[in-house]
Amino acid sequence: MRRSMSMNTVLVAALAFGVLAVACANGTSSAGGGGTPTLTISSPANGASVSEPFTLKLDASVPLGDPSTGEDHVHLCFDGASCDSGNYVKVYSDTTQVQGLSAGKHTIEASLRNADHSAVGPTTSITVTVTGGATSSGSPSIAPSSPSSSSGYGY
Amino acid sequence: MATGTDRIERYGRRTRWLHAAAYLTTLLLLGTGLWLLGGQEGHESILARALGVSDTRLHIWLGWALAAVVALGLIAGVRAIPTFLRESFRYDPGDGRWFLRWPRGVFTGRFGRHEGEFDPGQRIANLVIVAGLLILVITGIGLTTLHGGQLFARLAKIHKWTTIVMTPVLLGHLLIASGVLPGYRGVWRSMHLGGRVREETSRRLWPGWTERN
Repeated sequence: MRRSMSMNTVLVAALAFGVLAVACANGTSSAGGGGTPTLTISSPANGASVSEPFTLKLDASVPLGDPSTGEDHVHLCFDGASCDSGNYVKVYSDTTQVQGLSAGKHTIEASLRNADHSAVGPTTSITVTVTGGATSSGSPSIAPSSPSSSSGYGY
Repeated sequence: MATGTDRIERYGRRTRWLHAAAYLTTLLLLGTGLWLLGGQEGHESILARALGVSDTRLHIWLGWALAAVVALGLIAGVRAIPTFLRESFRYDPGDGRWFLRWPRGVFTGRFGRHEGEFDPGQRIANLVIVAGLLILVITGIGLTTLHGGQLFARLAKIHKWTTIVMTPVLLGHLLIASGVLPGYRGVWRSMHLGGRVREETSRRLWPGWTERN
């Protein structure tokens, strides 16, 4: 019995191509009308000296929330670490308390994220000098009492 | 005359390769998914560090890989789908008794008789796993397409709870399929190394199917 391999092969190739095409197309944001979202760090000021834990205030043009609500949120990354891969902290409101930074100068970058953690686009960064910071070499984190602290993935 | 040591082909090459592709991607998805569900997003897993991508991005890529495997399976195995569904939805007199005898059969190998291509427990697992994977793939595609919003939130909830239901089912399937339980000894070869099981194994697990083949 002769198999109709050629038709199957064409179908498989077409479907695989379709899946790949859709996958590649998903690199773009789905943000619809209403202008480009913006994000700034309103506090502390760039170059400020702070002691830990300190309050970091964000000014976003979109509501921030837990990913389980479908809203945008912010990734905070420190000292050049990637807000995409690497170690970062998730922030779900416009105020958070940061701790765990050693004494000295640090760069804090905030990146606005979709609920699926893909980048919306806007990023902003400041440099602060921490006085009397953490003595251990732990990672920066959000203080447990912070309203934006997240213990789970949020879904 | 066939003896207990003769081998019977249980699954062909195409089925075995498809199954392997599906379970490898599924296991990696389960690992990355549970890592994220456990609140570890932002703390690189070993795999994410090794590949230089975030765990979320890794999970998405693996999800697309599984979607491609599922699509391939639906097309390449289109003629097998009716048989798979018929045999998985099947119910014969005596199947209830099979379940009652199952706990003892797991350790002694003395299962109740059934006439199906799949045993009654396997039929339930087939349906739960296939339905669960389809739901995960479809909601996953929705999540990665939408990026956010109210529908995203609903799909995320379905995706999460389907994962929670599927995890013990998959672990149970792994346990049984591995053949470490005495009653299931030898079954792993049905999907590996040529797909040929000993006739004794086939008769023990699928008596009706063995007699027909």
